[in-house]
Amino acid sequence: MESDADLLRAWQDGDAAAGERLFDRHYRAVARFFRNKVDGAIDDLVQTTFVGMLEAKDRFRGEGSFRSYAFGIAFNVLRTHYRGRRRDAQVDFAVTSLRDLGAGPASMAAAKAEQRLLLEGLRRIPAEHQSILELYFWEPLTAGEIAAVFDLPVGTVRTRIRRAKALLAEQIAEVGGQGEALLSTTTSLEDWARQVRPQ
Amino acid sequence: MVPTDPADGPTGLVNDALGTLPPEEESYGVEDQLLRRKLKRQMFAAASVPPVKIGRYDVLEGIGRGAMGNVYAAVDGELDRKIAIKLLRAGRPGGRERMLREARALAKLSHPNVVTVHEVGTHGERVFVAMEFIAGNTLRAWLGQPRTREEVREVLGQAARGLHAAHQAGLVHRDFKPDNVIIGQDGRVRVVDFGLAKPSQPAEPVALVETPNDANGGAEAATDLTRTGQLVGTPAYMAAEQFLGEAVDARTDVFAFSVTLYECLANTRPFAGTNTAELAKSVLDEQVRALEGEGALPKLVHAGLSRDRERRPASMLPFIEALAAGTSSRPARRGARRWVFSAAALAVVAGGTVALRESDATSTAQPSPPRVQATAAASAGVKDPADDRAAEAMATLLEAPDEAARVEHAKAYLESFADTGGDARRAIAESTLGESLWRASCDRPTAGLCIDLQAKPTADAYPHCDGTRRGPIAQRPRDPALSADALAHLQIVAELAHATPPEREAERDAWAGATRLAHVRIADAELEPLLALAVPPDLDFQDETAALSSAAVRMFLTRVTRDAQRLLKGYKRAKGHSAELDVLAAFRTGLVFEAGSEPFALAPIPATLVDDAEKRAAYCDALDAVIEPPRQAAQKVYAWCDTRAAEGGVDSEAAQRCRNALGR
Repeated sequence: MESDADLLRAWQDGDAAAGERLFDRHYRAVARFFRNKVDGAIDDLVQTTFVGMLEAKDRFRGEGSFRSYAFGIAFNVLRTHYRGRRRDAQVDFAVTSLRDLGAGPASMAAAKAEQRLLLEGLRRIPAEHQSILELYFWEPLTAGEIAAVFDLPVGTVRTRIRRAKALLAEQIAEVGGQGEALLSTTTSLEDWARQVRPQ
Repeated sequence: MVPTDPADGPTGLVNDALGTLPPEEESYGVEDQLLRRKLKRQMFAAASVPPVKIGRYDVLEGIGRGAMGNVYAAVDGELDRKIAIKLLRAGRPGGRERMLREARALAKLSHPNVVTVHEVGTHGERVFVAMEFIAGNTLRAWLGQPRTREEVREVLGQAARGLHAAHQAGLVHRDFKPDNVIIGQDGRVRVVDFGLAKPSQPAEPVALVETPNDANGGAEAATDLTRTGQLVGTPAYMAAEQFLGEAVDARTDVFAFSVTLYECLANTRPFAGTNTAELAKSVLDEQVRALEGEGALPKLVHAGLSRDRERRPASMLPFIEALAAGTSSRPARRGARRWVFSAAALAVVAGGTVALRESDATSTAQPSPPRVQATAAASAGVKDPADDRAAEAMATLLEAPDEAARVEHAKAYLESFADTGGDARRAIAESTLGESLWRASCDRPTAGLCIDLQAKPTADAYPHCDGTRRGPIAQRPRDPALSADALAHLQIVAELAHATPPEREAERDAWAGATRLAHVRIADAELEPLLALAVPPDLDFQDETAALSSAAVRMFLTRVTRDAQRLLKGYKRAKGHSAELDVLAAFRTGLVFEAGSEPFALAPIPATLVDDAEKRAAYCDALDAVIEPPRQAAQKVYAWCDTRAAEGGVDSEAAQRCRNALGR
């Protein structure tokens, strides 16, 4: 089987069939990357990512993982997408969550309540942390591969994975906590019991 | 396998959850293929990308997305015709068979006002429904332009006939709304999307508490009300039973049809609310914006919007008749009378369930129960001979030896002095009648409530966490006419609660007692159904403890807490007059709290947990967390009730029940 690097080179040299094969191999993962990060159509983002591979000739030199290279481009495409939506052009994905950026409720379909909770939680943590976690668990990419995506030291990525999980756990607790708010409504009914106690 | 970091500790749960994702890849199967095909054509000018198939059909493009599934335009190559395909989301096991069964039943149904289903099949794990492609507009789009009443009646009449045909075939739509009614270019109206809206999971609870973080999503939430969401239907058209996750039937569609009809007639929807929680509250509290208009239709729509389905028309027939009546040249009056007749007939057919009370159907002809008017004499404090006569009549009433005599004197009093003898006296007389009727409306009351306490399930018949403290409660039906009359009188008493207290001590005392008792009875009318409420059987706990702590608990408590808070206010008003009333109100209060705990204690343990001691223990812990706070509150109230009874020398049935409940 041809390597991704060979296919990309052939595509860059004008072999559309090679491009198609490369597209077929990575289309799903790229589509999935965008799905929990934007509402609405992802057509343009997926297409821009693949076209980006074609154009960024000198970035992938056949070293490291092609998937790191692909997701690196996808992440940049995502950043550009959100920058375009904001006037101030400064979006720091290390601290800003996609939810902060106005992404609506998760468009990704999830059958179970816990899954929806999880998707919602993911969208509430900084976008970079969200991406790191999703790549680490869903693809799955190794910490080394993720380091290449974001151009970070491996040690930093490991720390961020742990940090991201902790943030996610907090967010899930917060989103899920609405149930407890209700329970406290029940207990507040106890006040009545106190009021009826003889003076 | 997902790599796990041993240092994760408390985030292990997150690991587990992430390990199960990405979710629902398969729901993107067709979308994925269509998008892939489109991009490949764009990027590589690929001519030979094979078409995307569902069954034997070539999918052209997506034409709609919904919570139930997506709709595609497709081509049936064999018959060379364009069709529409709805690809349903995968449900939980068993749901698929049900969907197939229903879709096949629909395929057998042939009615001009119901979409024609060509084929039902499976695509991987998912069910698809191939149906006629209708060139036309949805009712919602059609309403975008001003329409005459005649046009609305014609279109809605056809839709009503379609719904009725489906009901006759045993199908329930579950998600009727203007978006699911299509008006073809030929003018023929078809109802689409039958029976597909059954949730594939326990219904999402209606969150009572909006998270502050959601503030920026407000505008979006408002528009979402007309979209089928994670709830069992579309919030704006959902009946109380759907918000509560209870079973649905044809009357659920009657409700949704009534909302739609209302919307068409009034250009606004009947229930206020900008988000699901507010909307649910409006529906459950029956806060309907009055529908203006002549004839039977507004009345019928209001009946259809009742919270309790027993009070809705039992079928679509009255709507079909009322809508047809308007399109003909017959005077509206005649149509109205015809409908009254058919409603009465329906009530008989429904086997004793009175679909519409006689008084509802005839009240156009009769004045509504006398409303309250402040009397000049009482408010101005002017003495006149008439006041002495009223006082005398009241004294006779207060000294009457038994209930029969009291009722007679109350009637006589109201006949002569209802509007002239003063508000407080009127309240006393009204209360006398109301209380008597209220008692008469129940054949075997339990401490004044029309309920049956059923036997406590034995431990082996009912394997549960730590057993249950009392059996379930069943509501005994009250005579509907008597109880409605009773409540009409008692409402007047409640409305007069702020009248000027009478000068005579006997009257003042009787009035204070009457007012408080009226508050108790009015609350009782709501307490009885609340006590009979069981944790909805449709909720399953297959997601084990997670589901218990979220969906089931929240949804059930949404209803219980809201109703309970209102009832507690009512009973609180009863306090502070006599030991007997205090005890009665306290006993009721204890029951209100138990309505929040005992149904959970009685919920059957999920079959999946019976044999797994560890999971069962976790489940029981979760259950206890829900049950304990209201149980403790109930115990506190019962303790107070018992003390108050002892102090005041009260030995009523309520007092005994408080005592028996203590330490239970």
